[in-house]
Amino acid sequence: MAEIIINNTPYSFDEGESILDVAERNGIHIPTLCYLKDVTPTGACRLCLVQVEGVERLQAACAAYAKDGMKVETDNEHIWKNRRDMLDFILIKHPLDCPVCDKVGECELQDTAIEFGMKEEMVSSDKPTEPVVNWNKIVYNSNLCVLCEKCIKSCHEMTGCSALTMEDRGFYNHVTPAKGDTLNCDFCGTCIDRCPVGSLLDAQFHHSARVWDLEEKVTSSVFSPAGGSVEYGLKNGKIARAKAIGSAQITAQDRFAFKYLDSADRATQPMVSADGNLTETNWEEAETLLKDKLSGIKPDEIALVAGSTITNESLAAYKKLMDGVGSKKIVSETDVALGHFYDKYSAKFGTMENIGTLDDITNSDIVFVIGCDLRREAVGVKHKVMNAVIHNSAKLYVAGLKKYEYDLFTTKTVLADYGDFAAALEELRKDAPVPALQDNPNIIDVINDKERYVPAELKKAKKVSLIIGEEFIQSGTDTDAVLAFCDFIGQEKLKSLFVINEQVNYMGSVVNGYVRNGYTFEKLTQELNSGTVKVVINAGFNAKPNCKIPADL
Amino acid sequence: MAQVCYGYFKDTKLDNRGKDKQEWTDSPIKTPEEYRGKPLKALINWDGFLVYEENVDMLAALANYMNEISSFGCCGRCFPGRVGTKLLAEQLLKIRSGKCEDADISKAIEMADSIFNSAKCTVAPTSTVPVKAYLENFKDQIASDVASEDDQYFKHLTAPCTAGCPANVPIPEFIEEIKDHRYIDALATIRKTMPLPGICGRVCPHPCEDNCRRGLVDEDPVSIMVLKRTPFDYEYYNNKTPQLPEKMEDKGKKVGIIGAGPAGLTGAYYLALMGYQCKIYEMCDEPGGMVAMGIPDYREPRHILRHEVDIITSLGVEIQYNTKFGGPKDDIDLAYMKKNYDAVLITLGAWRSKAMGIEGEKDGYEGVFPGGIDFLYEQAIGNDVAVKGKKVVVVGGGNTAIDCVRVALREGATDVNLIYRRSRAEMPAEDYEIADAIEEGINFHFLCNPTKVIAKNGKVVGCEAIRMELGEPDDSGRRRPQPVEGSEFVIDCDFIIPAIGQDPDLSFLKEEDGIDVTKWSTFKVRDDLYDTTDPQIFSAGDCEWGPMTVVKAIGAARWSATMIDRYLTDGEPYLTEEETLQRALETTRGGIFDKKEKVCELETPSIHRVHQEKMDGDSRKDNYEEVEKPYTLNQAYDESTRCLRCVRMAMVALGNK
Repeated sequence: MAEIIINNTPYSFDEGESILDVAERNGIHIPTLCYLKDVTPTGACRLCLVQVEGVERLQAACAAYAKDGMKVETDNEHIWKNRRDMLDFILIKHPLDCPVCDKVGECELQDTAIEFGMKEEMVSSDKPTEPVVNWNKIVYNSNLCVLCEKCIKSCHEMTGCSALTMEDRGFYNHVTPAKGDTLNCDFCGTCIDRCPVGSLLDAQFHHSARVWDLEEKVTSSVFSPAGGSVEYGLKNGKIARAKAIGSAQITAQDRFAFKYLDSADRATQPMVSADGNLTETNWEEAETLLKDKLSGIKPDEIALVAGSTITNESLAAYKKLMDGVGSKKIVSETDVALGHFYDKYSAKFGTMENIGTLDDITNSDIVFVIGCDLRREAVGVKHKVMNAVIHNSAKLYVAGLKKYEYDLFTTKTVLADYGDFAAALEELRKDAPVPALQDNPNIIDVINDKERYVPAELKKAKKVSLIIGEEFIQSGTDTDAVLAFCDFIGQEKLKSLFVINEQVNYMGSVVNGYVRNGYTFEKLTQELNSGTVKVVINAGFNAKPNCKIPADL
Repeated sequence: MAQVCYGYFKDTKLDNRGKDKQEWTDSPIKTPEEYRGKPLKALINWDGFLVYEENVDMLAALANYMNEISSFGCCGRCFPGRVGTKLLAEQLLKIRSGKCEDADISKAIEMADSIFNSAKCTVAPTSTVPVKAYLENFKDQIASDVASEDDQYFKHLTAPCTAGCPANVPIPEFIEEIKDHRYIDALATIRKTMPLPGICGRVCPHPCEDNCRRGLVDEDPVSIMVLKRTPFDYEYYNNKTPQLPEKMEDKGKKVGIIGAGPAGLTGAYYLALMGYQCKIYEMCDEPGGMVAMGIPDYREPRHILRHEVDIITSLGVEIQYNTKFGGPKDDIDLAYMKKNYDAVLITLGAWRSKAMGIEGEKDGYEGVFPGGIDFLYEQAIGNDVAVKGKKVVVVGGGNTAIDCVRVALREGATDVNLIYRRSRAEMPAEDYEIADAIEEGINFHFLCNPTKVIAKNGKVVGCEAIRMELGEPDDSGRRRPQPVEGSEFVIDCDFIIPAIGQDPDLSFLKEEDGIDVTKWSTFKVRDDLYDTTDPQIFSAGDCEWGPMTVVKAIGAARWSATMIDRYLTDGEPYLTEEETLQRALETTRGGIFDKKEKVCELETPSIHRVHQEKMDGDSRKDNYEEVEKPYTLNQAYDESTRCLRCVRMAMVALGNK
C-alpha cells in the first residue's frame, strides 16, 4: 500500500489522489479558496501551498499528486508566509467595499483574511475601477472578482452550459459571457452559489437585504420532478432569495420564481362562488355549505381529480376526505397525459418508478436523453449527465426538439422534426451503411466509419442510462417506440431509466396508492356522461392549455 | 556574434564593464547584433539577462519585461502570476523613479521570491530570475542606468516543447484546455500553427516529447502526441462542425501550390486564411501525398486524412488531381505556374527511391520493387501487390521499411523479413513501431546488409546478405557498420523491397529556369525565408529539406506561407524582430530546453504516463483497422495533468536607428 507522510504521520492513498484529498480525508486542514469538489482543480489561489521534502518550490496541494514515500509539511512558517503573500496579492487589488457588498457575512475572502490574520497590505497599489455590469438576472462586479474560476468551471463542468469564459491574459483577464455581451444561459445561478466573493450576485436579491438578517428555511422544490431542495432566505417572513444547498443545483425557476407567493391574487381564505363571483367566507360556513350541497348524494356519485403539483401532505388530506365521504373514485390529472405511457411502462418493467439511481447515470458508459429539456425539467439529473460525460468519459446521445445548451458535450444530437421521436430513435439505432463498392476495400469510407455510430459504442458499453422527458411524452409519439429502444439497448445493459415530466408530484400520488387503483379517467368521463358521478372535487387540478381534458369535464 | 558587456546567465555573473569591447564575453545565446536593422541592446529571458551595450536602461527594460509578463506572458490564472507580477512591475518602476531605498529593493526581492515559490506555471517563476539577478548583483548599476526614450522592446513567448516542435504548436496552451475539458478550444489552439492535428496526432515522431521537462522529473515525458489527437478525435467522433478562424479579406492574389501533401495543404490553409486564392495541383487522384500513399491505413486511417483535407478545402482551396508537375512531357510546368500565379509554392515531396546498388538489382527480375515507397503506393491505390502466400525481404531501418513489412504481412505474405545494417538501437524508425512489428511476427535481421539478388528464370528466389559489425562512429554519430568477411548467407524470398531512403526528383529543372538545387537534390532556399533563387518561387517540405517528418513539412510550410504573404504584400520575405528572437533562441543549443536542468528540485512527480488502448498483435496483423485507439476523455484529462506548463518569455531591447 502506497503511503504519504504528512506532518510526520503516514497515510495510505490510492494512485491519482491529490495531497489535498489525502489531507482532507484525514482531517488535516489546508486552506483553499478556488477549490471545488465537483470540478477539476484550478490551482489558482495557491492558498493550499504545502512543502514537499526535496522540492524547492511550494506545491499546490489540490493539484499535486500524492506519491509513495513523499514527505509533506502543511503547517510551517515558510508555508504560511507564502500563503499570506498570495492572499495579500489579491487583497492589494481588491476594493475595500465591504460595507456595501452583499457578500459580507458569507464572504470566503473575508473569512480567509480573518483566518490568516491579515491586517495590512505589504504595498499599496491602485484598485481596479471597472463598471459593474448586469447580465440579465446576474450582476457581475469584476473589481471584486478574484479569478478563482469557480463560476466558469461549474458552468462548464457541472451545467454543461459553458456560458462563461475567461477573456484576455495576465492581470487583465476577466470573466465574461462566452457568447455576446450578456448572458444567454438557463440562469440556474450555479455560478452565483459558487462565487466566494461578491462578484456574481443574484440581481433580484442585489442590495435588498443583509445576509445576517435572513432567516434560512429549507424546503422541497415545487418545480423539480427529480425531488430537489431549495434554501430560502426570509426577510420579515417574505422570501428574499433562493439558493441551492451545499454542492447541489437548483433551477432558474427555483431561484427566481418565488414572487408568486406574495401575489395578492392568492387565496388565503375559503371562498364561495355565486353568480360567477367569489366571496370570502370562513371555514365553518364553508363546511356547512359543503355538507348542505352533498346531502342526498351517494358516496359513489362523488369523484376527486387530484392535481399533480400538490404535496403528499395535501394528497393525504384529500384521501382522508374521500375516505370520510366513502368514495374510492380518485384520479390524477396526469392520468390523462401519462396514463397510457405508464400502462405500457409498468407492463414492461413491472413498476411505475424510475429504474436505478442518479449515481447510475454518473457511472454510465452511454447516456441517452430522449425528448427532455434537462435544464427546465430536471437540473439535478443534468448535473449527473454532465458528470458522466465530463468526468467519466460517457458518450451522450440526444434526441430532442432542438440542440440543447450542452450540445458541446454530446456525441450526437438527432433532431425530432415535428416531434417525430420515433424517427429520431430510428436514426440513433442506425449502423454504418454497408460500404459501397470500392476500388480498395481496405479504405474505410468517411461515412462508413462504424465507430461513429451508436451500435459500435453500444457493443463496447457495459452500463447505459436512458432519460425520457416531457418533450417525448407531449409529442404523442407511441410509447412503444421508446420501449423498443430499451430493447435495442438490452435489459442487461440498461442500468438506469428515468422518466422526467412536469407533473412534479404525480409519482407521489401513485407511490402512496391514492390513484391508479382501477378507477381511470375514461371511466370518470363515462360516469359523468351517464350521470353516475354527480360531484367532482377538484384538488389543485389546474388544466393547462395543452392538457387533453375531456371537454365535458 | 554579439558580445556581452554585463549580465547574469544560468547562475553565472558576467561583468565586463569598464573593459575594452574586444574583451567582452561571447553571448551564450546565438543572437545577431541587429534585428531588422536595429542594434541589440539587451536580452532578458528565463536564464537571466544579457546587456550588449554599455549604456542601457536595464531597470526600465526589466520593468517593461515584468509588465509584459503580467499582461501578456502570464495567462493570469493564478494569484501570484496575475497580481504578483503586476505588483513587482510597479515596484521596479518605483525603484527606478530615483527615490529608491534599500527597503524597496528588498521588498521587490521578497515579492520575486514569493512568486517563484508559489506560481502555478513557469512563466511567472522564471520571470523573477532576471529581476533578482539584476537587483542582487548589479545594485551599483541602478543609479547609472541611463534613461533612453527610444528603446523598443520585442518579446517571444515559448516553451521547450513548443520550441522543439517544428510546427511550434502552443502545446502547454492546448493541454491546459484539455485539462479544462474545452476540446473545441484546444483544437482551435492547435490549428493556429498545425492544420492537420488528426494526422500529426497519429504519426508524428513527436520531437516535442524529447523537450518535455516532465521527462526530467518522471521516467516518461507527457504524451503530447496522443493529447494532440484528442481534441481532433473529439470533434470528429462527436460530429462537431469544425470551428475555423475567419478568413481575412480577399487580397485578390493567387498562389499556386504543387502537391497536396502535408506541406502543400498547410501552405494552402494559412494562405487561404490570409485571403489568397489557392489552388493545389496533385499528381495522385487523392490528397495527402506521402501521408496517403506512404503511411498505411492502420497508422493513419484514410478517412481521417480525407476529413482533414475536406476541412482545408472548405476554406475555398481548390485541388486539381491527376495533374503532374514537371517538364514539358508532364501536365504543367514552371512557366505555366509562373504565368498564372503571383507566387508559387512547390511542395512536391521526395518520391524517388534510392537504389541499394547491389548485384542483380537493376536486372529487371520479377519480384524486385524499385523502392519501399513504390510498394506502399501500389497497395495504397488498391492494386494487388501479389505478395499473398509469398516470402518478402525488406531492406532498410526507417519508418518506411517498417511500414513495408507490416503491409506485406497484412497483404498475406507468409514470411516477412527486414534487413538492417546496424543494430536495433541505431534504427531511425520509432522504437514502438519496431516493437509492434516484432509483435506481429516480422523477422528482423539486424547487422546484415544485402549483397546480391538471387534469381531463377528471371524471378527472384532469394537475397544474399552479409553480416555486419559496428566500427567507429561516423558523421551522424552512429557507429559505422562494416561487413564481416565471408559471413554471406541467403534468405529465400520471392520479393525484395529496398526501403533505404528517397530523394526529390528535380530532374525536370533546366539551367535556364534559374533555380538552384543543392547537392542532395533539393531546392535551395534561404534560411527561414523559403524563397528559391527565383523570388516568385518558394519551396517547403521534403523537396526543400530532404525526406523528413510530416511535422517538419507542416512547420516549414506555415513559415513559407507567411513569407509568401510578405513577398506579395511588402515585395520581399523577411523576419520580424520577434521572429529573429525566436530563431535565435531556437537555434541556440540548450537555449529553451536544457537537459541538464534539475527540474526535480522544483516540481513533484506525477502519475504514470497514460497509454491509449491498442489492438494486440494477433488481432491486427491481418487487417488495416487503426491500431492505436483514441484516449477516452478521462485518460486525456489524467495525462494532461502531468504537464508542467513550462511556458517562458524572452525579450530584447533594441535601439532605434
